[in-house]
Amino acid sequence: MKQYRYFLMFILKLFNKDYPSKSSQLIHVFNGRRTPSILYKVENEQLHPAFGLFKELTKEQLQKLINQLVREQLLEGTEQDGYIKTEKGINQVAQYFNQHAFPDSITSLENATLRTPFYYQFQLLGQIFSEKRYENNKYSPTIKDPVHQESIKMWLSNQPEKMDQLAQQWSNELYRLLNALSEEEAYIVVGKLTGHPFVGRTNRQLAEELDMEPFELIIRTEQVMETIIKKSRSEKGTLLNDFVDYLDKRTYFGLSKSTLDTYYMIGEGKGLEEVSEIRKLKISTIREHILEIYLIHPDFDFTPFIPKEIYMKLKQSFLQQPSYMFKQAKVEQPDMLFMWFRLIEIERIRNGR
Amino acid sequence: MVDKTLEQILLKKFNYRTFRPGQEEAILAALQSQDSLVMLPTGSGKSICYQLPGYMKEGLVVIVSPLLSLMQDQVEKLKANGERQVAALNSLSSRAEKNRIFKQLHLLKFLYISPEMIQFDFLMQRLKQLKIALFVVDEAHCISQWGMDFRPDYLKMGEIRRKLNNPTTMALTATATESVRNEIKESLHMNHEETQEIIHSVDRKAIKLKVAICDGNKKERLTELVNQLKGAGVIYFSSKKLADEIAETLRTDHGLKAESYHSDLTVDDKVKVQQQFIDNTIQLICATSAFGMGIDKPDIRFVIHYHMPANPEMYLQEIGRCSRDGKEGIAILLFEAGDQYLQMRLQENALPDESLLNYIYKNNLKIKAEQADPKVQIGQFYVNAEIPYNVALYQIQNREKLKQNQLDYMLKYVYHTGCKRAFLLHYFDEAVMNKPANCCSSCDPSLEQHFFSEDIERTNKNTEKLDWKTRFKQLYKIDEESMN
Repeated sequence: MKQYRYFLMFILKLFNKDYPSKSSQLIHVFNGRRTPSILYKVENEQLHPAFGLFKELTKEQLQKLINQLVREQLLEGTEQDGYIKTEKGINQVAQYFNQHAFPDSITSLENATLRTPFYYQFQLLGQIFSEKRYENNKYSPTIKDPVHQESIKMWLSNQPEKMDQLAQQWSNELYRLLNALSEEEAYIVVGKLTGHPFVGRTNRQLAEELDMEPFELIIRTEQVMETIIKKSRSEKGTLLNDFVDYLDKRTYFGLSKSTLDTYYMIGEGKGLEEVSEIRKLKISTIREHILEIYLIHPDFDFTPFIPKEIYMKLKQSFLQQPSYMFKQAKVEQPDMLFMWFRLIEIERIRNGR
Repeated sequence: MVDKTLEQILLKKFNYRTFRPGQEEAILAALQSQDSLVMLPTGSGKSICYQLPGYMKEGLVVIVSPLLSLMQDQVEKLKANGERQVAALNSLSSRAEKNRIFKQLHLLKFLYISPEMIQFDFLMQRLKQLKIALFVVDEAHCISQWGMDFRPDYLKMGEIRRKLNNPTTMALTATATESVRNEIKESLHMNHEETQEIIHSVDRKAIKLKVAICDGNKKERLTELVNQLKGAGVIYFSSKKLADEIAETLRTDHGLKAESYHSDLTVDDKVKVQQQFIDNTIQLICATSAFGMGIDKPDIRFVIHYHMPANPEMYLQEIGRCSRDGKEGIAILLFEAGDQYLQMRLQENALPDESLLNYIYKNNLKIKAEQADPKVQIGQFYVNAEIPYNVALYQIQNREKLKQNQLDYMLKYVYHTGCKRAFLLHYFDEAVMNKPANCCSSCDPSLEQHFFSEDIERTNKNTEKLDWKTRFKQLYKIDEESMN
């Protein structure tokens, strides 16, 4: 089990003392399931780094790892009632992540669906530019997936500059960006890249060179990709920025296609009922879209969708009673919508409750 | 005159001066609009057989191919040779890509397509409007229920061919017994008398055959061998875990440049391992059967099987990755009494048993159409083809028996004291012609020593690790000055 220690500790960190969690819920987080309740769970328990991390992990595999944590008395509970972290578990996880990095820069779901295509297309683009620098056009791309290849082709065809200029600009920008990362992070990124003189390293090879478990390497790579995306987004006018912008659009800004359509309509000033009517979708679906938008994009202004007095009242009620429940709110205010209640809950989580 | 033109095209398009055995015959058959069944050994350049006539005939060449990676690989190679009118349609294609290809179908020269995709009605309608220069069924042994990689979707290729008005057809395979070849022709509705059979021996003389019987010392025997054999090699395992473990041992305890390769690797890591192997950064691959299709490394000098393969066809396919450059190489099968039970266990899970088949027949409507479990897929195929339950059961039980016979043949190969090559070729109804020197371990008991070297390259991790800035600068051919 030694080679899974990082993954075991990573899983242990996802549990806490207060909210029992089950493998049947966590597996949806790892698999990146986008129901409102799973997205809320991610936000409520700060599970962002795990969301969509291992899409092929099965419940049985996860349960095996949880059982191991229970055997080591780091977790307690059952699948039926959920598991919570023990005192021993709290101490051990703290000790472990004193010596190992946890991907704590992943603090929202904003880039959850962007990171994977970015990771693959970033590698492919890196290879294309490297080969260009050597004027070589006979090479085998490391990324074979035609979806990624097609996407890169389209992005390149929309660039006004010539390929050699683009290759030069890309390498300059990337070098600058990598210098702003830690040595280890830069090593991971560059080690992954395939180009004219080198084939990129596999996860196992890089993990061995950096004395990590392969799982740690995979999780650290996610973290580095998140950092590169964020840094690129903040550097307007750069190629990297343009590339992230382009991929943002292709991945519907982290939303589902349907939610993005709703987002555009409310952006045009349409009310929720109007959107529901035009799109011939139930109003409850449109409300779920609003929740999804706010869960994915923390800077989304939801206040136009909640009456001011309800907003104030809910905030007040939570202040007086932090464990305030929807059932209670509904008794006090029979026309209370779940969407209003949940929006305030999410806002409270983000403001430190 | 035609031959001269063919050679000119061969040089211009593929950069080869001469044809390999069988290629020219297959090309001529296609040019004369004659259906053909082409069986050429592994690594003999089968793709040229349909690509070259594609350049000479008017119309589209449709290639049905069972493996996505193989398809991708062929498209990539054609593109690298400057061919732009080529595309692949399969489950990996995005909707936009599918639409684009669909709209430009009439402009294409080569269309690689999966057996699932070609069955879509809208696509068939479109293909029917086009002139099909050649209809190619690659890895045609997948048609055969008695072959090693049976794919139910391949059984529909005969019907597809009929719907396309029976275009000139080329069925390609590397390993098929006579009964499998007959089944291919039958299934594709190819005329038995008019179809030209271009059958070349499956024998690869450059590959020497050895069986090493072990007795509780298989791991030691393996490490002894890889420590002495020169050149690049592949070691096949039936277990991913063992492939990982042995690769780790070879790296850490023996300093060898070894990597494992199996379905658990991420997609980009699989490609990286392949590319590192091709450029000799890695010298040994510890693989499951997932490794090999589309690997074009000419100088693999040895293939070792840690576990016995299920049948002679698979064995021949896997050792066929060795010695593609024509220089000598060795295939070693390590065997320990009881190894056959592992294959038996694996086979138990490959076909639906009586109760599962019965359940599928009674509840087919309740079962989802696209099942991942191949056992259910096979059962569904029988139901959907309206084959009576008893016939289906009979066929499946027969197939089980066949698999058992194939495994028995492998076992006999292991213990055969006569010429191993002759025994293996006998399975394909062939005899050894011009017995090569150092033929096999029966003919030459110290066979492997011809392939030993005292100078095996070891890794030196310290010298390999470049700091990221140096690596980056080399990747993008830049220096500090040009960055400012």
